[in-house]
Amino acid sequence: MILAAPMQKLALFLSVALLVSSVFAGPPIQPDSKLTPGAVLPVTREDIIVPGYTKKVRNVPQSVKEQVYAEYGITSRAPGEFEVDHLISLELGGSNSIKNLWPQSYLTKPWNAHVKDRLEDKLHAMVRDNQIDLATAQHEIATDWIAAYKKYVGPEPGTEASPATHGASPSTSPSTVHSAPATSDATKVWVNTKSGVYWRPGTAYYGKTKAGQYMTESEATAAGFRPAKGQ
Amino acid sequence: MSANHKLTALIKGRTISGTGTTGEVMTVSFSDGSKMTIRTAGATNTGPTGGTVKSVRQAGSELSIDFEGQPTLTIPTAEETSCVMVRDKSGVMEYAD
Repeated sequence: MILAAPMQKLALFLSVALLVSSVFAGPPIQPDSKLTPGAVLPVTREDIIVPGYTKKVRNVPQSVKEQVYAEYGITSRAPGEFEVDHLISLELGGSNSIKNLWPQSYLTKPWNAHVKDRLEDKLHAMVRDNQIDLATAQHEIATDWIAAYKKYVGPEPGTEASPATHGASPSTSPSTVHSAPATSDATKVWVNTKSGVYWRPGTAYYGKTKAGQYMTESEATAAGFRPAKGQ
Repeated sequence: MSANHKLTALIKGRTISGTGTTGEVMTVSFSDGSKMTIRTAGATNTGPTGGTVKSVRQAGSELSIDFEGQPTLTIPTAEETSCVMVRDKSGVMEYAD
């Protein structure tokens, strides 16, 4: 019993250390391959290149989304912090199976959900243009989406020296992460040209919406755009 | 059990012309030539031939198809999602869950 007390303290210390490390491990930037190996629908290239294909797929039920967060141990989250991502995207024939879903952060840097969207668009365009077959695209994004990004889109975001030279010509698909304006233009706002609202530097969606452009605030208001709420 | 509005809007009014099962995949054929495949969790009852779809409901791993004037067909699906697909008579995908 005399030796038991130090052992209990050690066990307590280790428990606390494990808890702290799990709390501060941060959100995953890659899915757990055991929980999320990827899963596809029985579809072909001809199916997925039809405009509006993804709209034919039912939305993931909230109950399934909650299961995804639970299996990844995410018990609380802020609005806009995560999306339940299809590892193999719907536009590449991915399914709504829980084996294809994982919680992906919008906020981690440099790898996050916005960046992965660029890869998904790029691979879909390559499949459409017969530059890669569907099965290969599905396999590459399911195996290591970051490696696939570097291979098909370009270097790690924020370190781009030149456009990617792999595969097809540089993507013309919409980007979801946009380079910040030059320093002299740093006071420009980011206009979401789809929703009609604009974001000032330092706010959540500055330079991050799919559709948009930088302009001065006076240009934005003159064009009829309005500031996003909460700014 | 809540309505599956997307699937209901698609197949409401279609009439079943036949059903079949291969392994754990049930195929429902409609008189307009479209087909619905369902990955099931084991054996299921077949749908009523001649039955016209009124609505579709879904909760968890259970899919229920309501018919005009006929008993509801309830099918246990293999998973909560990714089990149902509808293609038109040309084979064009109309719905997947």
